[in-house]
Amino acid sequence: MIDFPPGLILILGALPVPFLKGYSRGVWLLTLPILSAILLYNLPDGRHFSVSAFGQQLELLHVDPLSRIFGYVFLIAIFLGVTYSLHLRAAEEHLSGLIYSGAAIGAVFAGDLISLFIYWELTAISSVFLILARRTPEALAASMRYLIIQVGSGVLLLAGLIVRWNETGSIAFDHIGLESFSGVLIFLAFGIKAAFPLLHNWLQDAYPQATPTGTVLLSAFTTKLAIYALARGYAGTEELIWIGTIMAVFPIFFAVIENDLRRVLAYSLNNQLGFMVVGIGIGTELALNGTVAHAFSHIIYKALLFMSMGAVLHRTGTVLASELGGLYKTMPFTSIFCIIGAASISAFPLFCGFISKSMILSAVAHQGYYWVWMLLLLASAGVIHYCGIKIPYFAFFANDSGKRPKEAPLNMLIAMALASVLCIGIGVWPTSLFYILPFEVNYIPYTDSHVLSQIQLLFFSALSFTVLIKTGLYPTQSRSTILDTDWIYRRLATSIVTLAARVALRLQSNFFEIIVLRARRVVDQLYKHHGPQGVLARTWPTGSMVLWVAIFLGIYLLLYFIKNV
Amino acid sequence: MSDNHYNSTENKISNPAGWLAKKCNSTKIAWVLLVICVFLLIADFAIHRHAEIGIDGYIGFYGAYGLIGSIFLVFLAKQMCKLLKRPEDYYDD
Repeated sequence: MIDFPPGLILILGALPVPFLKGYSRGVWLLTLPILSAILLYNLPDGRHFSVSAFGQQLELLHVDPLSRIFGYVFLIAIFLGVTYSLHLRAAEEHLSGLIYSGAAIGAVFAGDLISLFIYWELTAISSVFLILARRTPEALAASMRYLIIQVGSGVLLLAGLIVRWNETGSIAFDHIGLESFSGVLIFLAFGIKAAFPLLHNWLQDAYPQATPTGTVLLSAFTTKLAIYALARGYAGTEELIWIGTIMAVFPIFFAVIENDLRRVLAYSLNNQLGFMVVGIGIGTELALNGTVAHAFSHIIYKALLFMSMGAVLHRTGTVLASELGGLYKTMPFTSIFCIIGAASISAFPLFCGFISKSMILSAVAHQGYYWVWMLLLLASAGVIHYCGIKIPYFAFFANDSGKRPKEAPLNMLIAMALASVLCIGIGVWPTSLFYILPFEVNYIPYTDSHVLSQIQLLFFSALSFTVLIKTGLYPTQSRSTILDTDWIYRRLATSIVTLAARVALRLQSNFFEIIVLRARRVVDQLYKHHGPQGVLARTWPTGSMVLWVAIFLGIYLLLYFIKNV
Repeated sequence: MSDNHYNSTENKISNPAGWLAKKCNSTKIAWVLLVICVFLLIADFAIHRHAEIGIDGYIGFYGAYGLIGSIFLVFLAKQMCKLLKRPEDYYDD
């Protein structure tokens, strides 16, 4: 078998895409991920492909169980994403989608920090076109903010890797830890992409602005690449437990009051990442297995949810909860697929989320982090509320909006059906997923006690949602902007700059005024004293000077005569 | 996007909102949910619970936590609204 990086197949395979039209492009797009998957399946563990650059040996294909499973799920995601976007005639999203996924897969198999950095930046640059393709002024502005933050993450990674290179003389990408300065820099770089609290808002800002098809791809790669990188570099770092707990809890509140349903999904994405970050912080085999399993199922059900909302956006032109409702009548399949995604993210038994989230929660309990466990359980109850019920309820049921859109295009339905099959498949046969996890699994998700606990949690949360809706206590969904940390750079920073500019302008004009005033005063004074009417002008200094010159000349003449006499 | 924009007003009469939109039916769903919840509570007596951290071994823990937790978070979120909610065009200058 050929030892060639699977990510490069997608990147190189993207190049002819603009020249292909219709069916030939569709076939080409679907073949590439399958080809990469076959290649990856046949690659044994180890380092397979290295090139010399920057005076270093760059390892482009480091295959181990951790990178392999992320490789597989990224290939599933691009396959789903391509299927979902087959109806598009323009090539730009196909092109950037393939390069973006190829870069993410390349980064997963990067054995050293330099190639990780190159792929890291490539994901940022290629993915921005998925937002730009929406062609609205809001999308343009959001894409630029996204790009600045993503490239910023890459710059931190570059700084970290250079410092690390100096410190240790090695650029290998294995356990890094927070003990060194370079470790902190790289941690921040990963943290931005993983949407750590306070570094998170690029996600909720940019993802809802992307195209219906673009968001599906965006939701899969960037953040999960960061989760992979954290799992490789920082497993067992205790700080991650607290960061992850905050991450799992705070986005819930935003998701409850947010009106844009794709932004609700972006907040829930952030919350699910929190579970994974906690798992990495715990760092035991069960926790890491749980994290990887959760990333795997999360990519699929989150893509499914974004696909269902993308279909709604595609058909109705909006995903605002306040504008939607009653779509189940004419979009029945999309509704069912959305409910399957919602059941998966809510960790309903027999759906994929149940398996993976349980592993993380059990690992947290086994290590004795009881408060973390309680908060994660609250976050789980929240997920069913704001995502599991809110998304399908406001889009497809709730109050009839009067909208009667057509069912989603066939290719979108096929993509959603495939994702649904995977969600249920993993939920029903978890061993299929356990088989490819990085560590051996001794975990039984389906025990009476555990299934009952989860069903109780879910149904009582659902009951509270129903009661709050019926009593009118649920926050009304209306057109609005919810402030988040992006307020700091979109409003506070711009206000400060505007204020500073205004002050500077005022100062500048004052400054000139003062200078002119002073100068005029000096001139006036001079004029007063030395002008035609001035006091000092009464005796002209030239007069006295001429007198003295005459006197000296006279003395000189006199002395001349004396000498000659 | 605009060519997919679907004008709905004409279809409204020929395609009524359906069973779920009727208020009495949504009340029925709420009652069914309540009955299910009661049965789930009873099931707590029948199934031996394997407690993860101790407190979750109590009967009704998960139900109570789910109910109270989610009501708490909605109320807190409503308070947050007062602080963070702005008009839709807040950032458009």
